[in-house]
Amino acid sequence: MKNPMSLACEEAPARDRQNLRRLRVSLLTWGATFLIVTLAATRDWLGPAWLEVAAILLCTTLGGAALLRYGRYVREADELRRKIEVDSSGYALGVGVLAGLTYFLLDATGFVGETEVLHLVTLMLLTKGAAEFLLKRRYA
Amino acid sequence: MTNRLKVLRAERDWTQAHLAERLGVSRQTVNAIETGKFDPSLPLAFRIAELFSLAIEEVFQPNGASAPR
Repeated sequence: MKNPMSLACEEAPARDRQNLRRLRVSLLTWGATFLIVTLAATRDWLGPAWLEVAAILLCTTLGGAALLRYGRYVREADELRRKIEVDSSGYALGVGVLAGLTYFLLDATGFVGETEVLHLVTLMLLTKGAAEFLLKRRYA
Repeated sequence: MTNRLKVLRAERDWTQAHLAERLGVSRQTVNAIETGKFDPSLPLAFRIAELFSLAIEEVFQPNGASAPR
């Protein structure tokens, strides 16, 4: 059986491949900016508050651009690919809401201490990746 | 939903990749439709029927129904 992770990219129509390339560029730009801003913020490289705000705004704008690209990619994608994207995003959102609310209850009852929002984002991204992998296998 | 896509494609000696290209979808989508793992949208189902010059019900049937003659 072919590797399901490579299927969509190799065999997708040209329009999907082009949108996927653009999405990857957007995500890489956003991710690199996020890392640089995080590093700069934690090491006090940014200096004045206006520069910190500008860096955060830049990061958010690039994230918004990546989100728009993702929306376009999903809208114009081959319909099986679109189903896989929508389903896996639904699972990620569901797990995120469930984990977030469970954590809220655990925190309210004093069972856990404070945690970072990045953990929730990581959980959602891992869920999205796992769901995508399993769905691609199901339809391969 | 069942379909006769594999038979119709074989009658014309088309590969899945060829059919996928003509429909503007991925080969994975054609394979998933043929194996009954994925039901196409109505517009794609109509495109498939049009490509084979058949009525949509001659290509796709609800579960348990046989193709009209």
